[in-house]
Formats: sequence, C-alpha cells, structure tokens
Amino acid sequence: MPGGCCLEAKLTVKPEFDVIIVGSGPAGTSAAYPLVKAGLKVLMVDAQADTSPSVLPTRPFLSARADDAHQWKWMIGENFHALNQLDAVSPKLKTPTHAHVFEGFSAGNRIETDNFVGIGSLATGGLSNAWGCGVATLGTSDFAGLPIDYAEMQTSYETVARRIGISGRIDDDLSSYFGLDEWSQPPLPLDALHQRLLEQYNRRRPGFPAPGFRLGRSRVAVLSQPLDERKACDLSGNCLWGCHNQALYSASQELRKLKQYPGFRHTQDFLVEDLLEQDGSWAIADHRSALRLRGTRLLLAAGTLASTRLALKRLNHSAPIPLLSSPTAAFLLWLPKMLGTPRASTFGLGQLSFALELTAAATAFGSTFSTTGLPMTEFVSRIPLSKRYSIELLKNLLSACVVGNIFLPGHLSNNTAVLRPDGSLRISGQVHPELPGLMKTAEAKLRRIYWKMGALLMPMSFTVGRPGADIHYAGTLPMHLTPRIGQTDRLGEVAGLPGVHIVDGACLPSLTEKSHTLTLMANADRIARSLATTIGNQTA
Amino acid sequence: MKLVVTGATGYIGQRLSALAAARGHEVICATRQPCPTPYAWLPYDLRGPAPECPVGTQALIHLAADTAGTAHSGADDEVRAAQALLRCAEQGSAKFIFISSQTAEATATGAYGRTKWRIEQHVLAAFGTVIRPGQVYGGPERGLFGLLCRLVRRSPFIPILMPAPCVQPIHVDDLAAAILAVVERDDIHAEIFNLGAVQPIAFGHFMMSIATHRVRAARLPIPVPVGLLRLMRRSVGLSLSTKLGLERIFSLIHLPPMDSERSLQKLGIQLRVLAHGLHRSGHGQRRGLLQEAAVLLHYLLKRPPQRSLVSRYARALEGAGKTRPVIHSRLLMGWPILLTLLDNPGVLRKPNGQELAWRLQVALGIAEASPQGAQVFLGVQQSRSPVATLVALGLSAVKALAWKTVALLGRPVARRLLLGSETHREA
Repeated sequence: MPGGCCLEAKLTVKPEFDVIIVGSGPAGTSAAYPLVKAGLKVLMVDAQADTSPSVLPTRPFLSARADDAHQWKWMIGENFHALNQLDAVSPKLKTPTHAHVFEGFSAGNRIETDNFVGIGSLATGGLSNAWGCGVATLGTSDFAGLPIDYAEMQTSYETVARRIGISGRIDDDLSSYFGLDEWSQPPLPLDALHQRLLEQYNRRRPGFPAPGFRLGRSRVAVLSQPLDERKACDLSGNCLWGCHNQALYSASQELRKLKQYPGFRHTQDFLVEDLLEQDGSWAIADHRSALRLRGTRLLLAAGTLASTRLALKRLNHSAPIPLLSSPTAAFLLWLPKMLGTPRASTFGLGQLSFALELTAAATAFGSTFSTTGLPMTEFVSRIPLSKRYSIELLKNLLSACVVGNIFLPGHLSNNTAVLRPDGSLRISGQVHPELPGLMKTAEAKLRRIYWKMGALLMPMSFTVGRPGADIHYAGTLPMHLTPRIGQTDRLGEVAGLPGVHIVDGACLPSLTEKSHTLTLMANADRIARSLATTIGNQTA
Repeated sequence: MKLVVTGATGYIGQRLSALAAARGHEVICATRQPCPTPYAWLPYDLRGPAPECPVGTQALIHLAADTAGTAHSGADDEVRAAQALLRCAEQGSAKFIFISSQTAEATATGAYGRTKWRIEQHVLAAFGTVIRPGQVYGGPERGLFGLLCRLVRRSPFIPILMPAPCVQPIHVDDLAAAILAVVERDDIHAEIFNLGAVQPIAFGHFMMSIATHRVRAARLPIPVPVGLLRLMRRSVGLSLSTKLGLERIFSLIHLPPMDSERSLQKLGIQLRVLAHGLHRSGHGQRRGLLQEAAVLLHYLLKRPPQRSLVSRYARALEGAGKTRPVIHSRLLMGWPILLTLLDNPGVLRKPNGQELAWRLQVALGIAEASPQGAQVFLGVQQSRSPVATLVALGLSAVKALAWKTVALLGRPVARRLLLGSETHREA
C-alpha cells in the first residue's frame, strides 16, 4: 500500500535533532553548551508565553523610593500583582518583575500540593530569573558512595563557575566550605551592619566559644567585575526589583550566547505534556498544538517537579517517591549599637554566610541580608502591634537590623510525590521527626553566637518555613550505579526509558544544606559532556 | 424578545435600550433620527403616521413625548399618535407599555399632565400597562434632571420653594429595570404602576442633594415663595415661561404624592439610595471605596494620603472584584486613628474581621509604594544618635501599648465600629 509505505518512510527518517532539552533554566542551559560545542543539533524548548515587558526601577533603590511617583509600578505592579500574592512565602514571589517567572507553572505542569510550597517556572531562564544567587560546591565526601567521578564534577564546577561569574573570593573561614575562590571575582562591599558583624566575629574568633560556627563572605553568582555584556554590581539595591546591570546571573542571559552556535535552536511557548517514543527516538508533544518535535535523545531540565512528572507519567509509575527539600527558617537580627544608622544603598542578596554544625550528621547553612531593599510590609505584619505603630517602630529599628535565613540538609525533609491516575503530580509535605528539635537547637545556638557578636536575634522572629518554602527540590529520580525503576543511572538516564536523561535537580541523589543550584548545573554539564562524546562516537 | 421602543434615543429610552440589549432582547428603535448601531431602526415621528410594527414584535414601549410642549394644540396630536401606536401593537398582538408621568391627572394644572392622563385612558382600555415615574434622575444629565443639574451648576443659590413641594425620585436605571420587568412578565394587564421613592422628599432637598453628590459644590439655599414664581409666570407670559422651564417647575408644585410601595413590590424593584444614584457611577460604590481608602491610608501614614494613593486603592479593590466598602463608620472617617481599636488580632482574626485584615494589607502595600510612604516607612536617610533613636523606639512602644489598653477597654465600641458596617450593609 503506497500510503503505508510513505508513513513508514517518514517514521524511519532520522529525527531532526540530536538532542532535545526540555527547559531553559540553569540545568538546561548548562547541558546545552557541551552539546552545541560538539556540533550537535540541539533544540531547547520552554513554555514562556508572550509577556509584556515589566517596569524596572531606573535609578538606585533609595533615590527612586524618595521621589519616583511611579514606584508602585515596579513595587506592586500596574495590575496589582503584589497585592494578589499577599500569602506568598517570599517577597520574590510578589515582585511584579518576576510575575512571569512563576506564572502558570503549577497549572501548566499539573502539580498539586498538600502542606508543601510547590514553585516552578515556565519562563525562559526558569527560576534563575528570581533566585538568591547562592552558590557552593559539594566536597568529595558529599559524593561518597555515588557513581560519580569527583574529578569530572570538579571540571564541571569550574566550567560553570567561570561562565556564570561568581563573586566573593577572599581567604576566610568559609573558603573551603564553598570551594569556589579559585574561579571567583573579589567580593562585593559589605554594608555598615555586616562590616560590624564581621569585625566582631574576627575579634572574638581566637576564643570563640561556639565550636562548629564559621562566618564568612557569601559567595554569590553576582558580578563584582564586568563579564561579557554584563556589568558589575553598582550597589543600587534593586536586587529584588530588577537589576538593570544584569549583574545577577540568570540562565536567560545564556540564550543569546547559545544561539550563536549553528546547531542550536530555541522554541518558546511549548509546554511539554507528553514524551512519545517513535522508532528508537523521542518526540515531545504540546496539547495546544499539533506540533511534534523529534530528537534522538531527550534531556529533561524542566525543574525537579515538572521533570519528575514527565518521567513518571511516561513510566506510568504511580508508587510514591521521595522528594528532598531543605528545611528552612528566617530570622531578624538587631545590632543595638547601630541604632540610628542611616539607610544606604547596598547589595540586596546575601552579604555574610555561616555554616553551623548542629549534630554530627547535620550542618546548617545560612546568610544574612540588608533590610534596605526589601518591602517593609513584609515585617509590619509580623510585629504584634497595630500596623500604625509597627511602621513607626520599624522605621527607627530596621536600619539597625539584618535578616537571615538558614537551611538544613534535605534528609530532614520527608516529602513524597505521587503520580495520580489523572496524570497530575501530588506532593505531600512532611518533615523528619527530628526537625522541630533541630530547628530549636539552631535558633538557640544562633541566638547565643550572634549575641557574642553584638547582635540580638529578635524574639519571635525565628520563623520556620513550610515544607518546600526553600524551593530547593531534588532527589525524586536519584542517580544510582544500578538503577531500578524510579531511578536514573550515572548519566541521569531514566531506568526504563533509554534515551531520556534527567539533568536537573531531580537526579541529584542527595541534598545538603548548601545551595544546590551550582551543583545541579555542574551535574548537567558533566552529563552533557559525556553524552557529547558518546553521540559523537556513534555518529562517527 | 423583540421590543419596539419609541423615544429610544431620549433620556430614559437610551438607558432602557441599553439594559434590554444587555439582557438579550432585540431592540428596535422607533425614532426620528437613526439610532446607534447595535439596534435596528424603525423611522418614526410622533407627528407622523404610526409605523408598521415588525413581524414578531412582542412589546411596544411608548416613551416618545413632545417635551418641548410648544403649543397646547399639540396635545390632540399626541393622543392620536398614541392611539395609532396602540392599534399597531394590537394588530401584532404585542404588549403595550406607556410611560406616563406622576403629573398625569384629568384636572392637572399643566397641559402635559392632562395629555398624559388622556393617553392613559386609551392604553388601559386596550389592556396596556401604564407606568408613572416620579422624579427621574441619575445617569447622563438629560431631560428634566439635566435641566436641574445645569441650574445647580450655574447658580450659586438653590431656590427652596415655600411651601415646599415634594418629589419621589427614581434612578433612570431603576426605572428601566422596572419597565423591563413589566415587559418580561405575563401576568400584568391594564394596570397603573407608580414608580418613585416611597417617602416623598422636599424638592429643595433633592436640589441640595444634586449639589452635594453630583455637582460636588456648596450651594446656598435661598427660600423662594411660590407666589413670587406665579407672579413671574404671569409677567413673562406662558410661552416664555415654558421655554424657561418654569412650566415644568409648576407641574412639580402641584404634584400629588403617589403610593409607590405596592407597585415596587409587585415588580420586585428595589430603589437605590439617592446619594448613590446621583453619583456619576450610578451606585456610589467607588465613592465608598475611596472613603475607605482615605481612612485606611490616613491611619497607616498618619496624615492625609495623596489622592493618587486613594484612587489606587479603589482600583486595586475593584480589580479584585470587591466593589463594596467595609468601613462605613462616620466616626472612623472623621478619626482614622480609631482604627487602632480594630487593628488587633482579636478583631481581625474573627470571621467578620478577615475582610478588614485583607484590606489593611492592601492599603499597607499601596501606602508603602509611594514617595509619601517611603518617608513614613524608611524615614530620613540621615544619621541619628543611638540614644535619640532608642527614645523614639520607646515612645512608639508606649503609644502602641497605650492604644492596646484602650482597645481592650473599648472592645464594645470597637465592635460597634465594625458592626456599624453590618447594619449598613443590610440597609
């Protein structure tokens, strides 16, 4: 039959792409480089719909606040975005500039949550459009028992770190903890409060009574020196509202560079709903269009939650699987000696970081931030006074305060994800029974340590976040030497789905207290390097 | 339904057509001039022959009237025109609804009222429905309402007629809804409906309300004896007095009060409050939101908020689908600081306090995101001694605690501040 023969001919035709990458965030873009550099044909899809450009502050934060009558447009949004998200877990989720980053993710990817904060992104650049820019490497010991060659990881860490631009290089107590100084730029200047904290720490360090506490500069993916087209941070204080220098790293900055490679193609507004196997290759489909795109291999980098659902759905695997997240808390520190400090323009992300040993098995990591660039509304509602007087109080108090966060390792979370018969992914948030006690220990230790440094951890300010509030998700389909169904091999290849690799947080087997973004980027780079060689050999 | 409306481009006709079209009726305008596009046009002149009723017409609403009242001789023509329309409706077996006037009376002083009465008799005989509206107001400034608005706008005084004649106002959209209610019901034949406020109000009060709520200007009430007007009318002559609108004012003076309660009940129409109806939006809800915004923002910023913040709050709430204010208390409007009594978990966490809690958050966000808010929230960017700052902190704490004590003691008052809104909502 002529019809049948043509159809067959079409099916056996070589797919138009060597690799399709689903997602354009940190993982997707990191995986793309080794592949396009090897001359492969790579398609990257993401689900960003057409968005109207948002209003960014055009002047430094404090000067714009003082007399820009239109400041509400970037603080609240012309459609009152911030006011419709009053319950959001982080101020980042309320910023109009970031509205398009989070919009439509749960509905589009059919993620349902129970006692869990499930955040993701359909936007080009993914969650890195709105991240805290915290970076760290994992040590050799963190890879013990994993099927990953640490030397390979080390190469990938370096490649990614140099590409995205990291600042904070200084010889301090956290140098070895971060393991990044070799590839970093100098640190950004500290504000007066953080300077004082660091001075106090250094002065008391010889006899510091709290073992297991180390303080140092935060290492962040923010430029202190220009890199390519991106400019260095000028301390405008607009980190939360939109950096006009592009000093903060976002994976969306990579697309222009990637497009210079002839084999690279980027398609937006494509929401992958199904993975289809066709004749030894893979196709992705979006229900809203008839378009099907075919590649020899498929790299899932849609973010842990979305990638997990796509893989489980294709596997039809409906048993519950664990989902790691870092239990987190936030707190407010008051430096009484600094009362009356004038507000000054400063860097808005982590300035100082700490590592704090809680038990032999659990270390906590955290950073402290200036309060200047944050909306004060966030604090007003937490003070047990009427709002009129909370405002009055905070006006005088907050310029002598810094806010802090703290993360604990992922093994203290106890979340599960289940693929439901209707194809949605249900996530239930739970914590390890030990966690409440550990959080109490952390609070008490921090209070004691910071008191020694002349800062008071404000009573009632230590607030433990709901499961998932950290937005550090990982470990749903962990890499394993001999993977079973529901696991992946050392290249993230899903057991039961040959040719489908998971390259984002979903395949990380463990989650430490450290920010895991750099690790998942390096892992994506490592997998893609290996694949580039394999595919190159096959075609040769 | 297919409706033919005479006078569809007039003050009432325009609003009626819009409402009918919005409810899915097909509106055919029987007017002299072609009507705006969404409706079909049936050329018709009151002084010409009756039009051919389009096939399938289910109701004919007769609104057209010779309001210019140029000559007394026009009355017979108007009655004849109505009769022709009645026949036209009868042929198509369409309902006939005639919009008459509160002044309709066999022995009315004005020709206008007498003509309306004569037409009413024919309509009732043909089993049609008669609607007698009171003082129609609101919406665009047209008709008699337009005349009164222009008067208030121009003159620094408002004549308060002595003895005071009374009017029974009805918003033009409430009237349109009532007419449509008659159109849509099958159990109404040969009936007269009196539509207007149940409680008549003094005409002077009505004019002062226009000044306050529509024109938004202070106007001086000046008592004017009716006798003086009579004298004026006699001296200028009938035709000039008609042109000046004096005749229409006289028809008001002799207005008998009408019983509208039964009619309103039968049609299931609830009239809006005069102050709300006079507002340009037609419902005054935005005004309520603006007042609420002023209270909340003043409370947070400790000084009167900039106008732009007030309207931004109203837009934010409207954007969230909330069009009704929750703060109605006059006390709070005068003394926004009293909100401190309500701004505590004891009130805000209760079911009826949650809405206020949300609105406080919205006001907080809007207050902060402004240069005015930056001053209050961030403070001056100059260095201050720790001691002075500590004293300021102590003062804030003392004030907050003092209010907390007052709030505890004044719990019943606080409840009334909030409950005040409850009773208001039901009213």
